[in-house]
Amino acid sequence: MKVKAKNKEPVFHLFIHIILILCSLACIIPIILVVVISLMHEKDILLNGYTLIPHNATLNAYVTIFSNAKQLISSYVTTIGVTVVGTFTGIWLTATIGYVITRRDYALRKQLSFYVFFTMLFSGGLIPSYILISKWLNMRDTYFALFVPGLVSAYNILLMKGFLQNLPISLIEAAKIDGASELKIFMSIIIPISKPAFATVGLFMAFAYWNDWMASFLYIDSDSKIMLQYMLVKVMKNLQFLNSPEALRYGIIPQDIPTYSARMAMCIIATGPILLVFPFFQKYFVKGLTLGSVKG
Amino acid sequence: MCSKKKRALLLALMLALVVGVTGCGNKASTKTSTKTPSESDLTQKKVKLTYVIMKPNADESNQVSVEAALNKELETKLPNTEIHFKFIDGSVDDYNNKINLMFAAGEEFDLCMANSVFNPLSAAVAKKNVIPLDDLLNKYGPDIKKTIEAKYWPAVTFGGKIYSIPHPFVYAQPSGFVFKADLVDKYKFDSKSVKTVQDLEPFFAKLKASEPGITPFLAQGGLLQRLDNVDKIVDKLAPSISYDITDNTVKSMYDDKVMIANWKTMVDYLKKGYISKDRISVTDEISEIKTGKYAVMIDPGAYDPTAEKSTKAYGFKTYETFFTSSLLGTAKVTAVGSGISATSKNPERAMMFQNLLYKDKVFSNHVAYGVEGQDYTVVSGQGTDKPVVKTSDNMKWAIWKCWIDPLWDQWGSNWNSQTALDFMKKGTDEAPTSPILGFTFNSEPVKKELAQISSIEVASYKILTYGLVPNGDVDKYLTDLKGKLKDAGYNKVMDEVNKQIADWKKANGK
Amino acid sequence: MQTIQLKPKPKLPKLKQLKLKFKKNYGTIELTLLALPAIIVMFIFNYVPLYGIILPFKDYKPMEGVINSAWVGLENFKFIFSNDALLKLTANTVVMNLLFILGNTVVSVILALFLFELSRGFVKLYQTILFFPYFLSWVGVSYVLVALLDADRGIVNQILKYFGSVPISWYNEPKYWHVILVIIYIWKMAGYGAVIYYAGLMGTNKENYEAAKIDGANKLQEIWYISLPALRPLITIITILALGRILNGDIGLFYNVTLDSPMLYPATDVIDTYVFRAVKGMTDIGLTSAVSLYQSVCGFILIMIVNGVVRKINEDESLF
Repeated sequence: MKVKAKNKEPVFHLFIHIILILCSLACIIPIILVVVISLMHEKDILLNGYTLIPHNATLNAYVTIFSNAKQLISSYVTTIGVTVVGTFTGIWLTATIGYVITRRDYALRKQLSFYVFFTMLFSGGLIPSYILISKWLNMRDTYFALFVPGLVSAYNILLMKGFLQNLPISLIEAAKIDGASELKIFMSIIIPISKPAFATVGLFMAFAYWNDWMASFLYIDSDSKIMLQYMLVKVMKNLQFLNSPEALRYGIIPQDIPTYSARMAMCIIATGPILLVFPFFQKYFVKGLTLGSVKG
Repeated sequence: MCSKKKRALLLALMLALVVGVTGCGNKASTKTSTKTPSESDLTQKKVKLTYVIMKPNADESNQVSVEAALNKELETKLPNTEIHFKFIDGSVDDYNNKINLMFAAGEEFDLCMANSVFNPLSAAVAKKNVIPLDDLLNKYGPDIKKTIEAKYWPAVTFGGKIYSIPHPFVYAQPSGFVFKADLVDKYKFDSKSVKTVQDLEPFFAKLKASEPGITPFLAQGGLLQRLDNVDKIVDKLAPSISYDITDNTVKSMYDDKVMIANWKTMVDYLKKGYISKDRISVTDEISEIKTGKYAVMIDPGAYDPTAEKSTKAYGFKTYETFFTSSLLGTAKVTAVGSGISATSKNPERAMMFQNLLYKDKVFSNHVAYGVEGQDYTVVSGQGTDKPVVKTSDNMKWAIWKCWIDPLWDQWGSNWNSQTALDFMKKGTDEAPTSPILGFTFNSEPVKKELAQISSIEVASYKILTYGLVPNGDVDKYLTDLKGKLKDAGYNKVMDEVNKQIADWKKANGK
Repeated sequence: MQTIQLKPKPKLPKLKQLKLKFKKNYGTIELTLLALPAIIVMFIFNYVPLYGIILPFKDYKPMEGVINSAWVGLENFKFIFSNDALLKLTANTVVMNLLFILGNTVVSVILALFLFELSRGFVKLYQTILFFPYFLSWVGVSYVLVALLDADRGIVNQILKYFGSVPISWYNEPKYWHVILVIIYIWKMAGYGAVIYYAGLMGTNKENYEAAKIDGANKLQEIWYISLPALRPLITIITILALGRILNGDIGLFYNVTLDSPMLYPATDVIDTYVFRAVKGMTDIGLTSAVSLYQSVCGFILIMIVNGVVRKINEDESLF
């Protein structure tokens, strides 16, 4: 059923736009600031202060980061691969269990919900997880360590539950009468009508994978397998250490680092690309013209 | 009722499964072999050693070629042995966290850092992460024992056994004031006569009056406390507690008249604008100094009368003036050192390798500098045993010698000139020794109190050093601070320190 | 009168009994199978490491392993309870988190409702822009904040100076920071929340809106009677989940963004930052894991209470 967006309340709409424009500015200006700082000379920042318009723009910070092109490409490839595989696998796992918990006719509903929820608050901590992944599962220095541990998170499951809460049971019952299996119901009915839910949770998962650096730090030894965010964090951390008073005691020569501007450049390079993913997900959860009513 | 039963059953089942899985997976602790194999079959087995150290240089991309060259050298020098360096990225905390995880997971590696900074030694010993080295040193480490002075071994001895090898290094670094040369020249300030932070007043006054773009002083704590008569026994955990060697008592920095006067001076300097109000937002001191807007700061690691190092480090011409020497105490002596991991399967070979680094200076310099031609070039003294070298501009390999063997054997280079090395060695050999060198404080009994104290002091240190004391009333702030510390158990810690020192003195006939 | 004798149910042979039971519970089995892969993954990565929860009760030595290390009972917990400071910090942590939850929910929901009124193109644009802050890590945020609040070089003070006001030493004055932190938190998280709540609105029944329009309802009534109730399950779940972490202060926010300035501690010090400073020199996990457990248990109790209340009101919307 097509719904035509008739602008019945122009004043209200204007009000909305004004508020949203203000909010957008509040969101964009700091980001512009980040870009600008990444283009400024280190000395300029420290001597003249921060400005919205750079006096002498320089690509110094970016050049330093891009100098190791081979590594950068390798990390981009790894990160994209891990994000895609992790997100798709993760959405399936999250949705299956999230959907099952919403079914009021599921006998083990309370138990499964508690099973999921308990893991949100109580965890054994880093050491048992490290021993599990690195030793028992032998995932050290493998791509698996980068995405498998993060596939299923209680928060995402419960979020999915929140979205799928109001699925009409009538549809499901109708399908059952027709003799469909639960799997078939899930795939042919639930998935199509839950696109907003899947897309939203999927977006967050993709984002989490893209930005993760912890897994690379803990489990990866080969440079070819490290993810983007870690590659950049690593360089920054190394240089920071080498320039710290502690390091200088050892007689280490302090090497040149473009600090503030480099860090900003890193923010841009690391998180910029994920913005491109946004439209892909948005088309599933932004109001479409044919997202019709489901009531039968 | 029914569902409650079901739930309980489910939980019980899960718990049983969890315990079962962990029971299977949790192997018993790796026992270290107490039987030493005979000499002949020692180098029979092919062994690959792993040395875990902090990443010394941001770029180590020549690692493969360098290690290949080193392993080729080892074919004749230590047969059937290969070495691989595992570099841990990040900060000191990252190294410590990572290596603890590696111990926890029982990952195999042989040598690692084990000193007061990296893989904190007393904790590592208490947790049995590193093994006793006495037998291994006696059998396979003769050159190590020859090189390290007897007086240093007690610092790495716990319960009568040695657990770390303290590599000869500039333990007790003197500190100095560093002056921006052009300003000193312009105002004809007698920088060499400065002894205390108060002596800088006239210079600062002139700068404040005529140099608006310059902040006279970068308030750094190292320029406030003299370290030649105090041994910081609790080191980083409670740096305010030290052992005063002039009267052999344990004192708190907050009772020290000189420090109190200095803090009052900092308040004064802040008021007069000699210190920046925003000192607190400076997280990166070196970068801040490099901008050239400060006139006086601390040395970049150690006092150097030639000002060579600070000029290079800060990027502008500098003069240096001596401020204080350091005492050779346990905390200092354990600034560098390596140990052998309890997870090592080849401790004997590991010790042999470590010994080789001490014995064969050519080999150990190859480890430090890399492959000739690729990573460094010989500037002079080609063919001698002490050449002068220069590393390439974009270093793709570097290992700081002090982390794995004696610094003094390092070839003179752009890292440290031979003169600088000689100066540092002389300073260390002549440095005053603390009467309680060898004593290590065991923090276990007061670990809770230390945690609380640490939390308070991290904050108060900044406030006092940067002159940010509320209303400029240092006395009141210190009274409040001492009250807070007392509640956190400061006196209990002092008593424990006194007790442990007394026990140690008795046990060591002092 | 004939007494109606109910024929007793014929006893089925054992096999048939099982088959009947199987058929009865087939639905349950099917659904469980559907969720099984996820259940297994969760078991491996979330339940197996749970044995670590006994770490605070032990004197952990890596070489001995978690199970074999010596038991020390409540030793590590004394750190929390014998310490005045930590209890005061609990209060600050809870207050800040409550402000965050409240502020963020209100702003996110309002933004979502606004977006819901607009056409596709605008929604896509605004949503993307509002999401930008979420992309920035807290460290990145701290740099931006320094650019704004630095006493000498920051933009805010430059503006103040331009208008003749006295510049403020932002990083030295705690009194502004409760507000500053809440604003920053909302700034970073509102876009994220708006996406969630917008998607929630997407799942609502269009017919209700049609019916309301026919009945002559105005915008505010629409929002109050249709949109908000439709979002209630989602808001409830998210809020309950947030409450579970009410004792956890985000280190990224409270440590990095504040530059760990001690002057600000009265407003910005929370449990996690305090512990972080306390154990910086040590590698002892007994203390940190004890605090972690304390935070988890308190959060758990809180969730159970709130969930119980929600269950009484509307069982569907509770977590379980």
